[in-house]
Amino acid sequence: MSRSARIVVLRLAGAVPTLLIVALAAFALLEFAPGDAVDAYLAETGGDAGDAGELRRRLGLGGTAWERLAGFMLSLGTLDLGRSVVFSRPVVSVIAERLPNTLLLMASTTLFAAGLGLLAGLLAGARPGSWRDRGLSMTALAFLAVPNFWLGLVLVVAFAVAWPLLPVAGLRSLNAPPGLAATVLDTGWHLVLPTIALGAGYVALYLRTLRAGMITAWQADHVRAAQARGVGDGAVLWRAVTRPALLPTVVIAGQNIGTLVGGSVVVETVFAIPGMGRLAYEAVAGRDTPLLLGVILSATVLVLAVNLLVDLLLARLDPRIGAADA
Amino acid sequence: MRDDLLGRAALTAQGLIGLSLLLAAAALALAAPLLLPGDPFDIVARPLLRPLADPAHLLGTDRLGRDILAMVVHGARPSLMTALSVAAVALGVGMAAGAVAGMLGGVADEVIMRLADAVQTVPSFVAALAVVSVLGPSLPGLIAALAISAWTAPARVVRSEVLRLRGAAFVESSLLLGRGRIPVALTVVLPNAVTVALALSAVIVAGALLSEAALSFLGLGDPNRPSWGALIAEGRQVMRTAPHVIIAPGVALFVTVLAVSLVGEGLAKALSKQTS
Repeated sequence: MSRSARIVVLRLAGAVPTLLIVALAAFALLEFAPGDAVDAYLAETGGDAGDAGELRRRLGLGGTAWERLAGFMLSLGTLDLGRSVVFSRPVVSVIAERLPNTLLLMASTTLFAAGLGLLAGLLAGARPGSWRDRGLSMTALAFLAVPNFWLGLVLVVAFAVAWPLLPVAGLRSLNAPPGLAATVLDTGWHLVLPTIALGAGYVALYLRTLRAGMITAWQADHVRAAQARGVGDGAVLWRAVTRPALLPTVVIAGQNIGTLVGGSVVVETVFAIPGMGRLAYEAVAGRDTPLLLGVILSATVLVLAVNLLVDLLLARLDPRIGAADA
Repeated sequence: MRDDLLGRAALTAQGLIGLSLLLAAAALALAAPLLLPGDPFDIVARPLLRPLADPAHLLGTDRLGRDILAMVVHGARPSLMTALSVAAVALGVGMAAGAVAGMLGGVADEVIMRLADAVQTVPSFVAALAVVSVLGPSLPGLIAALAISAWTAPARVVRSEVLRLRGAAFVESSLLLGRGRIPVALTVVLPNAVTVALALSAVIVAGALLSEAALSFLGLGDPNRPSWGALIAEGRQVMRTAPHVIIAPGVALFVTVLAVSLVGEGLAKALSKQTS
């Protein structure tokens, strides 16, 4: 079996208990939430309460908790997440519609944060303890303490009132010119502020991770050996110090996918982006339990999928990972 | 050695600044009813007074004419209270779970760690939304919603520390005296693994402060208390003409989280000096 195939198999096997536990927790949530799909349906259609028993039986909501659990698991197996109360549509179709916008925001945030954070981390880690390093590290600590939703609001105030340059809501202009290039440009323009609001903390995270790795690397024997051999400063900094320190930043990126999804809840709410994060909030606000469960389950699958990709990337970067004798 | 960890953390520059800021915030929060007596939600002046315009209302008033300084100072109470409770619950549950998992091994270890894996896969803020939506917006509901994801990090570090200590002579001798593995895990092994978990406390408190504010911002906090997140949410309607309404609670939140992070930096520094 190739290294990548082994990693995929291991990850998928590890995902089974996780998905099972999350599904069970989701079912418990459904059981504890006040009211069920039938109550919601009857409230919506104004139907007769006498139909409730019959409806529950037909939707698999009657019977014992065990029977309901079996029905719930079976419908999950066929990717049926039920009907959304708020949208009166299958949950799967609502999520499919919203997911691309969140993926777009997550991708732009990761690009922005990794780009700026790694550059700043390189500047800080190149000379640990210098004034430049101290300044950058303190700034990073401050970035980590800024609430993302508040930063978003401050940006909205700044760019809606004081300096109306960038769009502060949605992902597309109503009067955008047609054509693919124009649409991409328009959406990218709309993504600037939400990306900054969501990404500021991650800039700091990448900076701190790269810097910490570089500080460890500076003390390694192979760095001193390279310096003793007369290898140029630039080559030592890049090949012996920075490259090994990049690996942990990839690990950190994978570990923080979940917080990125969580952060998108508030940031999408602030910037009126119709994504999955705002959907989670709409589900809670509308007491739409099936929709909320759908969002939780798909967010979990998203995290597992991204972690798998990160593992494959790590294996490409580091030949020790996933080797047969490891 | 564990008792003076905070003391030595305070000796680092970051730790000293952080601890002073945090103590100041805590003192303000505790003294709020004395400093600014009365209900912070009372309407006391004309609406949207600018900061410094009236010495009686230093930070101005909101769209209803309520004193922003009073609401921000009183708002420190629910925010700090929630964050500290979350850290206490998460550390307590996490350390106990980690100690039991590490000491018992086998099925118990497998179950606890798989549970931790699952919890860490679900985005914690989305999980918190779900828990609040079931338990309702209240202080205990918020604490449960945030602690449910926060216990895994202390559980992991304590577990690996316990695995390291499991074979030590003082543990073996306690077991030979005929005490059960769980009592030994909690009373003999755990106290030696506390330090590594305490270093995480700052991260947990900072995260809980930010998440509590975000939940309150979405309207899922305790509606009867002026928490910072809720103040920011209320200011949204008028922020384009009166930005001071969202600036004050946001800065309070930012400074508090920064103070906690600084204490965390100091703790980490003190801890790394201790182990090296």
